[in-house]
Amino acid sequence: MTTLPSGGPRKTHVIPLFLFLLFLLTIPFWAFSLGTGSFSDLITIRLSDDSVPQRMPAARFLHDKHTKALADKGCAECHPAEKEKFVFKFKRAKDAGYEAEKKMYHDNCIGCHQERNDRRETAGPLASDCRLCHGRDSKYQSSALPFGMDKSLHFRHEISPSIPLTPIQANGQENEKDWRCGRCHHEYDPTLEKTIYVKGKESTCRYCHLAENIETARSFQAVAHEDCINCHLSLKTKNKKTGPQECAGCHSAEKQSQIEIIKEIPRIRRNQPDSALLSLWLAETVESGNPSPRFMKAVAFDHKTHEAKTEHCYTCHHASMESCGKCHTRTGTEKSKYTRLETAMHKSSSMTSCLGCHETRMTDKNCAGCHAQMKNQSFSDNNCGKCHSVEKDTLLPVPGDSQAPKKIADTSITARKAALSIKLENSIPEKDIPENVTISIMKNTYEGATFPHRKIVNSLAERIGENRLAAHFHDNAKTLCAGCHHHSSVSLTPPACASCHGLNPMAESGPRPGLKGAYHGQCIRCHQEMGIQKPAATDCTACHQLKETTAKLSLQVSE
Amino acid sequence: MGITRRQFFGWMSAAIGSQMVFRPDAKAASTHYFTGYADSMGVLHDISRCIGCRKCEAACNQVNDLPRPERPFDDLTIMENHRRPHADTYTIVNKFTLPGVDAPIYVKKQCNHCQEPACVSACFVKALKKTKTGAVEYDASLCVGCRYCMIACPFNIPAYEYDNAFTPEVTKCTLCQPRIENGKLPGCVEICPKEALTFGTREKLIELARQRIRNYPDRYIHHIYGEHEMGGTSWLYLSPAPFADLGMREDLGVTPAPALTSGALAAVPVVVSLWIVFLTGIHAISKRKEQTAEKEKQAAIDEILMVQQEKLNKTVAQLKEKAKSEQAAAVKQEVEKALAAAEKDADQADSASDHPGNQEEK
Amino acid sequence: MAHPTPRAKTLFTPFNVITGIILLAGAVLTVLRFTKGIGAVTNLDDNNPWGIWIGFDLLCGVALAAGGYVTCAACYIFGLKKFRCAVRPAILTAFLGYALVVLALHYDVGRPWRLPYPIFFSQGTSSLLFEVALCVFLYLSVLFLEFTPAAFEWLNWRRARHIIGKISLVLVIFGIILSTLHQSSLGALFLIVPSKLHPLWHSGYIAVYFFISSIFAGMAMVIFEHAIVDRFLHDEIDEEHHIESNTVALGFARSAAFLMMGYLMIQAIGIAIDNDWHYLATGWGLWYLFEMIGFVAIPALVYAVGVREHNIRLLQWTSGWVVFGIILNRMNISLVAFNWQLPSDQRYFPSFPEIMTTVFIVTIGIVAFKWIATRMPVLHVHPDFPDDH
Repeated sequence: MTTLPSGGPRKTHVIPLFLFLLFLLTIPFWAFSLGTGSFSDLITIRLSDDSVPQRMPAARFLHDKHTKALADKGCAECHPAEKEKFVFKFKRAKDAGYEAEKKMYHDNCIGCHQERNDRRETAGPLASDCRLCHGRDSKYQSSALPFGMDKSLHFRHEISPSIPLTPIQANGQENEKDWRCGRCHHEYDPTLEKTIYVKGKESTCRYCHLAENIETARSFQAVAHEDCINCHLSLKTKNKKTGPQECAGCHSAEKQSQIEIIKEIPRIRRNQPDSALLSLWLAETVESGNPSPRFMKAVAFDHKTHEAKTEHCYTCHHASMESCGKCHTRTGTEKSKYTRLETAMHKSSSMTSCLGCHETRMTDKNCAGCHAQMKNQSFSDNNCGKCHSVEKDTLLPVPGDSQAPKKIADTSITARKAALSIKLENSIPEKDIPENVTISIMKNTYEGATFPHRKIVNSLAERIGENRLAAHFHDNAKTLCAGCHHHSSVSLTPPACASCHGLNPMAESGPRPGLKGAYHGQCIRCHQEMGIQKPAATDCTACHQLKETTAKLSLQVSE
Repeated sequence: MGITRRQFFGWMSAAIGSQMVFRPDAKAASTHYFTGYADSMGVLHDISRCIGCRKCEAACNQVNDLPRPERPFDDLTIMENHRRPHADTYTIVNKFTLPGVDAPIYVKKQCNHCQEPACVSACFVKALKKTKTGAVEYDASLCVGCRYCMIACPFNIPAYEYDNAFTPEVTKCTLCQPRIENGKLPGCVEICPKEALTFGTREKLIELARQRIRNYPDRYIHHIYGEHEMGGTSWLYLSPAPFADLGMREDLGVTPAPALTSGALAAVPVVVSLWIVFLTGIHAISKRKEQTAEKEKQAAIDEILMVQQEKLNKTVAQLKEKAKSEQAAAVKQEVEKALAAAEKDADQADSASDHPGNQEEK
Repeated sequence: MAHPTPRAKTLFTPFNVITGIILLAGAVLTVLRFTKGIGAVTNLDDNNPWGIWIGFDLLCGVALAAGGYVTCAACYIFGLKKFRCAVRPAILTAFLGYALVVLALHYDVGRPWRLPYPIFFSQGTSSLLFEVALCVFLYLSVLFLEFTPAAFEWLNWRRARHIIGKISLVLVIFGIILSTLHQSSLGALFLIVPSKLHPLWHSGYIAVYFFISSIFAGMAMVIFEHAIVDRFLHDEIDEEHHIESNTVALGFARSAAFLMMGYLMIQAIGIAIDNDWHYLATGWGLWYLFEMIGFVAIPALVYAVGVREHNIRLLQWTSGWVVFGIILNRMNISLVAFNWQLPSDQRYFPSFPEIMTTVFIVTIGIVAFKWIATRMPVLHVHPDFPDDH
């Protein structure tokens, strides 16, 4: 920048230029202003009417910091109480509209900060520090983790001595005391115009308490905070064992990891079935007394086992505790958004469908070695009979009582369980599994590779272990062989890899890899997927020695 | 000052004219477009299969007779830093460790052998050619060493032998063109243990890539890099992670490089023809203006001259008249004077001879 | 230095000493460059194949040599006879400028002995660089012919002088066409790299930007150069040149002011078409605005003020300012905003030998200009050829 003209223009135009340079100098500072810090108690204040265009970004504050600072004054300092319960809104029980709320926040937050400041106590931002609350930068980031009740926590609440037992209302009278379910679970009774506890009707809060407030129910977030924390607070005042009352207690990663977990949890008692016979035509059949020849074989569903394998009821019962067929009918209903039962059970992208959930199990380390290499199967490739196994004949003569389908399911499940076995020795004699195999069909730079074939087979079987899902689908232990010896029919003498995989791979030969690619692909990907660190994929000599005739540094590339 | 204005308008029209012809989308209005040579070859790099063994680098070094590197090819720590091809390395494998992904991802980098290469269209001596086999071939015997190909390459591939004073060359992957012609696979493809590289016709490779995505929908990003990038490349890529995270730019667009410059090139003959017309036209106009001005000046001068002449003539005539009358008056006076004198004389000498005054009057 | 330098009696004038040192250093670097290779003297690498030898020597050299065709156009095409005194210095500058561009290319390209290849041997017609090469080659020839009258007058070759005078108009038109083409193609060279050149500088209109900016660059260069010549070669300038140079300065400054404003407008159009507005809020945007406002908008206004007040001195200073702005623009496009996405450790900065080589080449130009201007009728009318063009 040397040739700024002297004389006339310099006087007049130096100023904007100077300002420009100054502006340029500020660029690095923008970067520095972006501090970091993440908090599980970072709360963004959202006023009730968000349709008002806002000039400033929403204010944020650290809730636990305030709880701590006002510990001696308690929640009442900020939150009004209604029916002995704190309302977790700031200084108000009901929303008051944008302007009123804005004023209230400003007056009270800054007012309190100012008072403390005047008393020379530590205080938050004052009237002139707008941007400290209404900051746009990412100095504060929320690290709050979502939190929900898992089976263990649910059980701990069931057996907590701090929670009083609830009387059960039956026939309008209190007659029996049960566990503590009624402390939380409730139903709305339109005749009594209030919520009551109904035994056997418990369901997840989320069915009614949705993501947003609606006319008939508060949002799930509001419920979880108001009801949980108020209960915890009340127990605390009674000096009883209680749960967390501050943000971090549920939402920080650290505290979440400290929550006590109970391993052995009895089944939830809600009169749910142990098993169910899933078939759309069942009702029709029972009515007509004549099973239609058109219907798919029924599925004997082991409800009890699935309960143990899932964390929540709503993992499958995503919208209601009713049976699936209630909404997912033959044609679908408005409530099911016209998703038919067939789709609901088989849609592989849905985690609430049988197929969708089962497919994720294949990504388990113990399974992925083989399954990650198998191409995505279209639905029609699946063996329907694996699940649709209840023979129509077993329904004949059509049972008269309503418990009959359940009995049939039970029978089917028991039989199925008994048949489950993946013990290798039961199906393949050890002598039929070659102990070591040497691949030497295309020695080039390296010698042939010898690998412990039997050890690998045994290891696969071992890894599957007692997994009943795996056992169910690998009904024949020879299925395991197909993990590597794929595409040919299961046999103790599978064809050699080279029968299909050629030596010179070209795109023209189709999707099948060449022999070298097939071997390396299968071995290395299986090791990678199953988390077997050794040998490293790039440690060539761990599997095959370098040929002595090969010059140390040269590779055998065809000349 | 009207002169400068004229000048300004002239240049303004020039500017507007060239804006019109240099329009970026000013392409020949034709429905023809090039989709690559039929049956041209390429390589599909399945990034999800690559284990980062650097065997391809070693094979490339060997088949191209490149100098042995300082650090051997089985030293995998070299991949800690991201590299690019250089004068003595036509291909390299880079390692990417992505947040949230346990295993590192390895990506091979080399000339992509574009369908319509930027380097080929940029070369001003045709030292680079796209061959029908798919390879972008370099002819060192023509290369001047301007390095515009390196500027033009959107993938930053061509390298230069800066330290060679007398016969420096641009270097890049050749797709092993000589090997292909002999029915062999490119060195890297042949050596790859994992078949992370598949050689074949580009059409087949695209089919194959689609099939892999269909068969393993969870393994791949559902995009074949190189199918459309920069108008398509002979090397194609399948990846388990977003390409942008693997050092492969996704913002290159799908316009083949030649299309970026075709408008400017097409403007050349137009500028030449129009400028000849414009410039001679403007010259003629200014010349004519000059002549007209000259003529007008002459006419004005003539007119002034004429008026002056007339005036002069008039004055002369007046003067003449005046002179005449004055003369007449003077004569009369003189005559009278003379008569008076003669009378006097006559009075003085009645009997004298002839009068001289009469003679004078004649 | 306000007074003209007296004609040197001794060889050791400050000018001679400094140029001598530079030329000597240049000679050493030349040997180094042609024996050890480009890598030995430059910081060029595979990601940054073009350095200041292209960014400054070629791009700026060509842009600043635009005075030749601009002055010719003004004088011979638009018939502004009063600009005639500016024609010869402008043509000389242009000729030397282009000659030096070609010289610099010998350093930059890998095998300079093949520079005629694109013209005579293997024409890469799909390349804009081919267009540049061909035009520069032809234009250099045209400039040579356009300059020969001065040489012929100096040598007193009347017949040759007469013949060349006959075809001067053809040469002028040819020169303007060639200049239009290659000035714009130098910009069009960067059309192919939308992914490497920052979007604020890259535009489909970049060829037009280069062409328009070359016009006012040429005008500024003519004004600026006269100021320099007036100071250092005062004795060579005759009275007519003195008086008319003011007319030239006023005329060119006025046109340049308009052109620069027009240039700003088409820059804005370019940004609007690609919708690159959001980049203006970044550091790159500030740098772009710095260039556009600090070196185009403000000098244009100062030009306008200078013309209104007939302040020749102000116009001369502003011309220097504009010349610097053009250098900044060309360097921004070829070096600063090029490869803007590369991490900073992979960016290019010229090496000292590279800079010295450029200084060396510029010095050759100054020496050559001085040598010719003090001998041939460039800055004055030849007494034997009083009214010839």
